[in-house]
Amino acid sequence: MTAPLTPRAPQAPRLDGGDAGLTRRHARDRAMTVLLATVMAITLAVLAWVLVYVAAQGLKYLGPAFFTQTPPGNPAQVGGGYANGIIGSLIIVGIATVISVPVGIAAAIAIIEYPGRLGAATSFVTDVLVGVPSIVTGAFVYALWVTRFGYSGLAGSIALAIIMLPLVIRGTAEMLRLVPVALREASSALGVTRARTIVSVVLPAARAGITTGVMLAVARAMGETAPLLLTTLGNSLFIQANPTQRMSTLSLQIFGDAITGFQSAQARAWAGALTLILIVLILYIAARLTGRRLTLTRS
Amino acid sequence: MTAPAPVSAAPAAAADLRGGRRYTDRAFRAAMLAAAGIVLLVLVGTAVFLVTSAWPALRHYGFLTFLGSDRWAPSDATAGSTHPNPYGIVQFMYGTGLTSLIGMVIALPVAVAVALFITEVAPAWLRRPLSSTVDLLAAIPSVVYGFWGIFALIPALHPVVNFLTSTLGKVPGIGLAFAGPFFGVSYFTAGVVLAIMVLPIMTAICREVFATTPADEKEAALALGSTRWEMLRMAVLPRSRSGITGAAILGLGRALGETIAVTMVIGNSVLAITTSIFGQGATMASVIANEFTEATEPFHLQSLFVVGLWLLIIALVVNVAGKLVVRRTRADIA
Amino acid sequence: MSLTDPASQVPSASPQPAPQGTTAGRIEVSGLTASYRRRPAFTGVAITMEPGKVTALIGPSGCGKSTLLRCINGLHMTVPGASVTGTVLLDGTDIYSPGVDLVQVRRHVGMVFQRPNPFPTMSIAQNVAAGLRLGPRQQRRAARLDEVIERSLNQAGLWEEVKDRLDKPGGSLSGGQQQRLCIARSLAVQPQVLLMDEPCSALDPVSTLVIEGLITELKKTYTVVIVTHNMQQAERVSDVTAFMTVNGPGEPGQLVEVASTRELFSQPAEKATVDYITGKVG
Repeated sequence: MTAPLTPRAPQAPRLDGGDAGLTRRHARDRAMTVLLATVMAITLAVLAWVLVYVAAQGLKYLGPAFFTQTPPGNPAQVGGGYANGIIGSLIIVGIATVISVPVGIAAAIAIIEYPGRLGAATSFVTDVLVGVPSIVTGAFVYALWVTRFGYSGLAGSIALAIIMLPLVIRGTAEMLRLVPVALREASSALGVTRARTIVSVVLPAARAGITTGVMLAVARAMGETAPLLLTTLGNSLFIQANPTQRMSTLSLQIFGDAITGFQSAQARAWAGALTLILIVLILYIAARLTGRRLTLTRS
Repeated sequence: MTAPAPVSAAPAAAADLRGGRRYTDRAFRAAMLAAAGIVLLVLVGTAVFLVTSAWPALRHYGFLTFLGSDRWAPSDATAGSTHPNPYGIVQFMYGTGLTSLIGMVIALPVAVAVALFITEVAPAWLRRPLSSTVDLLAAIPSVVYGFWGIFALIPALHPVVNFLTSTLGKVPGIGLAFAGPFFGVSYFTAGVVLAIMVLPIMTAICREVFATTPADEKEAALALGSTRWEMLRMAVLPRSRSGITGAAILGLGRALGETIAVTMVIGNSVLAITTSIFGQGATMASVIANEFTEATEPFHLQSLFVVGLWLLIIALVVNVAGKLVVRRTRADIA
Repeated sequence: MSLTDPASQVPSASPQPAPQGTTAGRIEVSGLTASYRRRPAFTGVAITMEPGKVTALIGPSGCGKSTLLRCINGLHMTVPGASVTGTVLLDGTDIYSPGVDLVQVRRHVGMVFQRPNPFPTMSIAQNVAAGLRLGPRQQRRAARLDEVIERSLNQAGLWEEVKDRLDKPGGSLSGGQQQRLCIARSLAVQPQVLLMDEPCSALDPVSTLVIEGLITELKKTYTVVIVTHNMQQAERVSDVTAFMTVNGPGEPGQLVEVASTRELFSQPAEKATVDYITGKVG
């Protein structure tokens, strides 16, 4: 039972020091609110700073010539554009998407629909792969492919596919997990094969979310530079659409021109940076708007 | 999750049908598991190929000699001599560690503050837009951050750094770490850029941790007569400690692997460790990016693979550790 | 006892000890309507809760009894979009009048919740002292903290069981003990009123009896208001019972009847009360 209680004691003086203490506490609360809001504002300001700066510099040079011409042979020369890089990016990322999306969706199906040791290991490895630095992936593909077949757009695609793979898997797996079990069971009860159920019932139900995951992966791949340095090396001079040859990408061209000392090259690079940011942001925002929200930063 | 048996039709027909179905099912299942296998192969392959490519240098110079020197001088290498190892990599580890640490130290308090603001202070309708906007920082490509870093950030940093070198840099002892001269590109600049790049992921984790604080405990704190900030300090922040730690570790892990933005603003001085954070240096990732395609000296390329191998190991260890901490936090919360 | 916003008042003397039988901790609710984003949870409630007595609020789910409780310490107002009209007088001062600081009100009106919620990262002693560490002048307080912790744990009937492990985590106690810890935590700041929102509904029967015994002791010192969905508990523990009900789904709740507990349960005045008590409704 309860211990004996002390009899009612006279009211002790309040221990918080009285009203002056309260004022100070409220003042501190207000100050912290202001501090938090300020830090938030600074963060937003930094984002705005980056976007506005790139836009301002890029718009100076952006024009139809930028999209249709290739860079001049001499980087110090004014004029030209990144047509080869843009085409190269589209081709390389396109091939990488074609490689990584089927494999990624299939692996996600393996994880969610056929649980077991392989599925669990794959899930763990997927998380681990996200943490592999992209330059290391580039070195891997160099050792695997470039040493045998030389620098090429294809090698770059393989590297990008590896980078995209865990993102596609994660996005797909999350969506598959959300499809209600009842849907699968209803399909099976009708006599539909497991395979058919997954392909015709579960995947379409998860379609919006899978699309979102793929778009985020594509956005990430468009922005990558480091692994491409080691695999496709870049081709600054002319449009190359054959993936078995060295190709240029938008990101490689920006990188190459940015670190030269020449104003003219840097001007092209700014236009390239603006283009790249626009592409990535459009993909990113479109991904957010379609279907359920998947965060790029979820780990 | 195995499929329940189909509703039986006439028994004889069912047996025929089931035979055919099982074949398709099995083939499909095999294909899916094969894809899973590919994922495993990718990770294993990465490790294996890195090791085999680094092997000639490792065998020639010995495993440990790479870690025993901070002098990277490929031009000193000859095919014959094994000692001393001209490919010392300590300064790259130092550069990676220092820049990532600076990035994490700057970003962590900001991430906590932003996450607190979003989850506890901002009105409900603002939460999603603010979160999405912060996440946009993660979408900006590395090369763009590097480019912006050179032309926009560095000029803005000059007055700040000049102030620091003239004050902290003069203090005996720690002054060495803050000494000038500052030429724009430096460990510190790279650290600031990294801070911006890892902020979104740290904020996202902190947001999740704060949002899962039980409303009960927050109300109990308020019921004791606390202001909102006191409630946060009593009921939200203390139980978020391990989550915030997890966010810090994962931010560190993300920063370790960044290549291009860092390469563009760190100065790429590969010769040795520079003691001042405002000095120039190189990271494991940046030296690989810079020298890989021009590595013609004996054992140069293989040594770069050694660097890559170490980078992989460190990045994996940090990322797995971070994940374990975050997962344990989530389990506690759940 | 000063409740007014410190920015607008002159510093007052320390409050005098209140002798037994005075009105310290008297709650008078009149014309109270509480809403969430303009949708009322209950309307037109008038009730007085006397010191030295336990007042029970009973009624079916959704009748607004918990909301009413949370209007007494202003916790209702922490929900975005929440509003009240009417008055809640604490010893003559309307806590919702513009000059009154609800943060200070909550020092005088404590609350215990349905699920025991000790702060998980704090020890038992730290939990009890949590409310005392707010604000400045921590040094002066430190010397008296041990006294206050012991006294509060005694009042909650928990001292003997935990006095040897005050530094153990709050979560290491059983459910009933945790709830008594939460009671001790609320009492440590020396409120005049103690609000309890279904404090035993998550506990086993033995712990429930312990806490009910505690309530009977506590009412000698505090004004206790308890929300309960357990009518037998209301009969056992309270002196005054208020019955609230709701006329239909989505309708705001109403206070139907308030009477001494004996009267309400033996000769209720309203038919709705009869229906609820006899189990026809509810």
